Amino acid sequence: MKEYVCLDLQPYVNNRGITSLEECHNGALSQGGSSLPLEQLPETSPFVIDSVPFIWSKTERYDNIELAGQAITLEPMEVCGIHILGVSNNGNYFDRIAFLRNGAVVHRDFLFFSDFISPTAMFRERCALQMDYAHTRVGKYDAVQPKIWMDHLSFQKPCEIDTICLEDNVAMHIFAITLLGQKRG
Amino acid sequence: MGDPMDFTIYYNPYHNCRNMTISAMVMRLGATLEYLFGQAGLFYKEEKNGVFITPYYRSLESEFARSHGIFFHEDKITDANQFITHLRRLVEKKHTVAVMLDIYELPYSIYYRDNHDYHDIEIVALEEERFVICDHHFQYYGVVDADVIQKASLSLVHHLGIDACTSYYFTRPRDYTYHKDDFIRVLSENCQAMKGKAIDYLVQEAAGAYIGLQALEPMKIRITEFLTRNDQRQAAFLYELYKMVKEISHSRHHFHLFLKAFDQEEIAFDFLEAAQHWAVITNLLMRAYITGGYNDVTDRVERRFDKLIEKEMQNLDNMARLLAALTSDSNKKKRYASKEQRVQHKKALLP
Repeated sequence: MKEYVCLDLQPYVNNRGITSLEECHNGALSQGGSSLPLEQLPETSPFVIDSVPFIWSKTERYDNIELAGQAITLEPMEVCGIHILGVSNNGNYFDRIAFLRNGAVVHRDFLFFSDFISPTAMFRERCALQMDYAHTRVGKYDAVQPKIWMDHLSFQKPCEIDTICLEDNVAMHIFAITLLGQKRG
Repeated sequence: MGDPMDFTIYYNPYHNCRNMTISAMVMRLGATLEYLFGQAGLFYKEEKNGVFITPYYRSLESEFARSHGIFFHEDKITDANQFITHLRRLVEKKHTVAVMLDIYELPYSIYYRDNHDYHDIEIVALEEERFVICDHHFQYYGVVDADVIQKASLSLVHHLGIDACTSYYFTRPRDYTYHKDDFIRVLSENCQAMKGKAIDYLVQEAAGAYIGLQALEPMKIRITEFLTRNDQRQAAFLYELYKMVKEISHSRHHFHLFLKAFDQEEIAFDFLEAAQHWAVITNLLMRAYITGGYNDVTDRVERRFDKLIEKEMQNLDNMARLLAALTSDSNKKKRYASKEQRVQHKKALLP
């Protein structure tokens, strides 16, 4: 039976993209130290976007993966779709993403995220969460309405995977990954 | 011609400030931007004080006149008072006019009294003695005093060495309809440029330069060697490098729009992917510039360059194949037309 599996990304997070107002000086989503306001994002985990559950993967310092060529390992699973929450900064970016089983590539796709301050989606991704303002290093900035985007990667036929390989792209950030499929065994 | 005030600010993150200003000005004249920025070449040359890297092989102005029916008019005036009078006259004649300025003297800019650099703004109207301007890059629309414009123009002469106060405007006498032959011509030139041919103004610069695909490996070596040396005193050079590489990314982005305008979706995406590769390198260079850790990004830049080289080679192959298919198709149609004419002629000769 198919189920949603939310991945725990805590071992991989390396960037601070969400801050409370008190901690806004710690933001690092952009080169200038912007971040997303904690108080405008779902508090509970899991939270649901378009019927898809997601979990936050926050540590004390970090809350998202700034893409740097990471290989995310998981329990082998037969996957028919993947939903990824993320953003780009300093422009609209896409890059390749690969799925492996036992070290061999079984599926390739692109991952698309518009800039977190883009008013509209530039590619196929959809707006998952929209906020009324951003945080800068010194406080609220309400001239922009930042967004977290959701990209949906579908597999033509279910594929067994145990690793997700990301590209090295400092402008792209992943906050959450949810797989749709069946766990092996 | 539409009302020039149909829009005020035109912001496009895939343009430098000059091209953003030019885009706004020609849009006001009714031009369609997707057709205009079709140059995606590559030129790399070591110079005494650094390197020169550009994707462009024709000046925008000559390309506009030659291929798009848009004419560039530039004026250089040494007397600052006469310059202001000249600007007023142009606006009174219903032109919008761009002025080259030093950003150091623009009060609304974050670089005011901080940093000298070239900058273009567009004057769109007069408000009594003052100018209504659009600074597209900084997304500022407002009124500035004439003496601000005067001071900022002169500052460019004194600090950055241009000859005289400089302005430019465009005219577009008639609409221009684009055809398949325009597409073939641009595609053909880009192919030639990426195969290594020096075109237009680059011919006189060609000695010692690398052009097209052959520029990629020397660029990669030059940039990675620079980063490895980790010399913080070269921050200014790194910033110039960042700007030049960013312009290459922009050129591929705009070429993808050009291809899409002619319904070539698949190859358009390939060029967008190339633009992404260049942009990733640009971001890594900026990261090095901000953090001061030049050598921290060397390996990352090198790996991305390898992907980029593969993509650029693939794109040239695909471009050449497309060009061959289109050219063959065009020739077939020309021959058919001739044969048709011959058939008609023979019929006319029959009793």
